[in-house]
Amino acid sequence: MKKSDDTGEGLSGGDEGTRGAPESGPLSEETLEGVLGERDALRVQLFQLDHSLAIRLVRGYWGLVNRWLPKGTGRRRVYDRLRGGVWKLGWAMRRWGRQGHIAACPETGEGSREAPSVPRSRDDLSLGVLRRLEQESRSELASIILSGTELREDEGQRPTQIVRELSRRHVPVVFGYWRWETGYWLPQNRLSEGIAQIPLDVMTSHPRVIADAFADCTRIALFTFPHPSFFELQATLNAAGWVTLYDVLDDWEEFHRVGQAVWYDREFEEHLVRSVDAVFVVNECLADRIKSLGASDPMVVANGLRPGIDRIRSPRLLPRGSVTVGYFGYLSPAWFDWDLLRESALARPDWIFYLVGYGVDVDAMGLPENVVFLGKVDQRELAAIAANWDVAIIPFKSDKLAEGADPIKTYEYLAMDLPVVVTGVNAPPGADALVDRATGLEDFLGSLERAHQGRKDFSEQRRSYAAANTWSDRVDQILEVVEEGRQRVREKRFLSGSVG
Amino acid sequence: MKTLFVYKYLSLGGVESVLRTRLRHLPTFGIDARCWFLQDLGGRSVFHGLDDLIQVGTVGELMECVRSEGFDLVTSIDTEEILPCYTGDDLPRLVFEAHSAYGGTLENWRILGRKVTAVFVPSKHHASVIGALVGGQATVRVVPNLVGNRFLGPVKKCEARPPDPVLAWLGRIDEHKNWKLFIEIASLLVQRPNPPEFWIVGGPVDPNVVGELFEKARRQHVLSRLRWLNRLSHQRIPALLDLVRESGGATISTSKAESFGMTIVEAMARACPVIVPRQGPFTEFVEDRKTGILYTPGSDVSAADGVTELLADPALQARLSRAGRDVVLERFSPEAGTALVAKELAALFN
Repeated sequence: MKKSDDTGEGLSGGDEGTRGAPESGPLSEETLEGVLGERDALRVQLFQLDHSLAIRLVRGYWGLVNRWLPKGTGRRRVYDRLRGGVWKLGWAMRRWGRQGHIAACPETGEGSREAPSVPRSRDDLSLGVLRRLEQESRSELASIILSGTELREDEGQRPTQIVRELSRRHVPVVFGYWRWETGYWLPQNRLSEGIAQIPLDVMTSHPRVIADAFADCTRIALFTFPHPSFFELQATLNAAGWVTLYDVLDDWEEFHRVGQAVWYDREFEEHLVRSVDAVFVVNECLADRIKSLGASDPMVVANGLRPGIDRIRSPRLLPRGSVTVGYFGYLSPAWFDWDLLRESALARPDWIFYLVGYGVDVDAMGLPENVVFLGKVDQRELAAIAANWDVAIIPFKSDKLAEGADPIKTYEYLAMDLPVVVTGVNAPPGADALVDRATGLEDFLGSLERAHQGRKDFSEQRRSYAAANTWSDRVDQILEVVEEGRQRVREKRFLSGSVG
Repeated sequence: MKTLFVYKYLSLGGVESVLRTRLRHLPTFGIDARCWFLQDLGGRSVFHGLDDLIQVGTVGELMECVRSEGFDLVTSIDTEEILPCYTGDDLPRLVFEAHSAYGGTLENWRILGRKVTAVFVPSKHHASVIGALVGGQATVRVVPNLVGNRFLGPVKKCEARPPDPVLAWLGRIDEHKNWKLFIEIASLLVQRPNPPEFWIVGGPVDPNVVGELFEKARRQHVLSRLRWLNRLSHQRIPALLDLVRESGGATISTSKAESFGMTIVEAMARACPVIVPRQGPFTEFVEDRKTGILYTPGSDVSAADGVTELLADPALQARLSRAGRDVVLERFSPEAGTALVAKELAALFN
């Protein structure tokens, strides 16, 4: 396996791209926007820190110490020794106390099953933001998104995309994000876009405050993972008239089976499925699974495309093989089929396989020289790299985890006009002719060869498919279910008095 | 005649529902009625449109109000907190309405019996309970609760309908209402063919109960068919009962003791079949297989059998729906009930 220096930098960021990297010369508009965003976020954090009660108290305290115990005096030396001892004791106690506060991350399942407890004052501050959002909104629709990930533009996860689209429509969004420690707070740097970011544990600790918000609006609450700590919040939202929705992104039980999502509880997912007003799934496989959990009529709302991902900002030439194959995204050991990639590269030494992403120690995978690892790359640079490829791949292991996935990268590959060959996962709805699903090494290689030969075929269809499957279309689908009272939404509207 | 009703909690309970109906209808009998609550637990929605007639404040503020506003009669509903302060010749006569089935010490009841002019209770069953406690020191009168008009509107088919029959349980999630028995009944039903959905409508006072509810429902494999509506506004209860009825389901009570059984009477008002323990006060208005289903108190098997029989028999459901509603219209309508309350209050005043 070769690590490429063609891209020049080891960039930081996420699965589907990352933040603006340092570049020489004038910054592009997008990079500038990213840097400014980070600066603003840091400024907000600094402001909050500088104006916190703790900092003000410390400032006052040191003013008094310096006044009454001037530096260099004997009194001051005694004081300094005493303070050092107290500090060490406090530090030891803090470390001990922290052990009980680590919470389970929904993605990795690390930590305990309990949601962290939270100090009240910061809760109030956070919930105060909710009230501000409520006052400033003029929309007739309001939303809550409960997400296992943070709101990160550079990672492009489904909850983030839905939030972006709602925000674009001027719908206020209360975004509940997971955090591992109670001291971790995201800055409220997106209020101007109508987005408040509140830790999930704060939301679940104050269900009535959350449920009472936006009382005059049509209100939707979208649960994007089935964490048992949502039990009371969901019940309170249901009673308060919120239209509750469960957006099934993955087969959580499978994640649990492979040692992730330790918090998963099948009984609770069954409860959630039955007690929300509508259920959405990303593909038919998950629809079947969710039906087995008790959902009568889940609706497939596939993933989508963020327009503009296919734009090449500055061309980047990479070495080509007789066939050039590429993959970008998270390189999870749980579902990425490393054996298939290795054997393919060995069987076709004159081909080049490019990997863009992160998630494993690629060096440890024992890959041949014609597999080139580019590391993490800014999402805005993906199109320039992919322009060197003949075929894009999603080589996932054939198991339930992959069956339940609808990789966002499929839409992105198609938007970049690349033929797509996959294993393990299925083509998105309506894209069977554009995505070749292979099984086993020979079939995979054959599919890649055919895709290479027919590189220009279906070009128009690929682009038009991608254009017709944007996140905006997905949000339309979700809101139509609410508006038309499908699944159990009509029941909720009857119960809350908005329909006779 | 000016009367002040005093109750400790302003919540979404049955007492508030009764008081709302009284505030609306007593003026037609020449009685100017007001309400005073000691603690606001989020029940203002019950008094939507009557906000001027209710007030929340401490016992001290209440006593000031009683002295300054010239009330002719004060009626305390299960609010013994006012008794220590209720001393002096300048105070109006005091009636104690014993609606709560949550008990109290015998000594307190004896003291109460000496202070009050009369004790009103909502059922014969509760009259016997309270009569024994006050020991004949005060007159005990049966004054049934009233059902609000919003429960008595026409019963129509609604377009929205839950996919499976619903077994609804309404009330405060606590030991007294015996939510655990409901989960046990549900756990038997999930093992039988075509189990219903289980709806719990209400909230806990003790926040620890949320975890208990989750764990018990989970352990007994009920969680997957459970819908919990935590603190549903009382205004929405009629719609909820309509959904339960339209689903082909029923409302069940597992309460260890009730003074009246308001949630069950309200369900009957919406023509929603009911399943209740064979004990007072339910037996005063539910006749087995005529106006509802009675089961052996405390028996999960007996209750589950009743539910199974009812859900499998649409004709029985229809019969119980009609007959149950007729009982409520005849005995607990605002017209009938308010006239009786007005008569009892006037008798005391005169």
